[in-house]
Amino acid sequence: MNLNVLLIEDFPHPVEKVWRALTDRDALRVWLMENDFEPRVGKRFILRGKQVFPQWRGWIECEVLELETPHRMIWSWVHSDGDPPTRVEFRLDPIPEGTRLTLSHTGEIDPLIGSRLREGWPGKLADLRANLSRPALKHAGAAKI
Amino acid sequence: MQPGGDVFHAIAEPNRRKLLDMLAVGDLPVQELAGRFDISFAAVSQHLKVLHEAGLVKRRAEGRQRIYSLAPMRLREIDDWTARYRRFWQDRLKRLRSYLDDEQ
Repeated sequence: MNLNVLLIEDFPHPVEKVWRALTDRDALRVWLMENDFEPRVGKRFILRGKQVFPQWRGWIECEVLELETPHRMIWSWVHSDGDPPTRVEFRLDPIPEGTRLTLSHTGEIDPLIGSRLREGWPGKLADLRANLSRPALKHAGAAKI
Repeated sequence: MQPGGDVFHAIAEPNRRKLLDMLAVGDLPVQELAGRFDISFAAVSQHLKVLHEAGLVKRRAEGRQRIYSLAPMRLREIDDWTARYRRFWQDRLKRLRSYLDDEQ
């Protein structure tokens, strides 16, 4: 079954600033997840969830596949052991108002792990909501659900 | 076995996906479905059985015919996969926006 997510968001900030937020370890920690990211092709890194859920090991294995500063970055994304990698692409385009981010997350979902993931994600999203509503979350400012 | 697992197993097979595509257009008797495949009637029948057990299709008898129809609720569950990742990224991009707005 195909995974096919495409999101387009405009930000009132210059491309370089948005690019920094996508490729800086500390920034990624604030808006995405705990990580050991480095902006170079071939870098394997881990995105770590706050806790391990019964149906999920608690981290995502990624690798930087393509990097074209400051416009395009592609990661492979493996959610669970034995999953076929999915693909996350960030693209930045300058627009008069600032920057357009095009994010796509695509891949073939292995049917055998599908049910496991279906069990795992509701917990993950609950955790996400809890984090977003926690006022102490540093830097996240007015993040709302 | 979890019903969810059955669903993903059921849709993994190309012929079964083709059957679902055909039924998406309208209800069909098993003979007519089988007639549109190069594989044997028995094989088509077996694929329909798997789909039925996964709750993806319903069947009813009309006279001597067995009519198959799509059970869209189950398919919607599969769609959730993409929906969940979409929500995940939407939430994360909101955080990205806040992060950027707070940065000097």
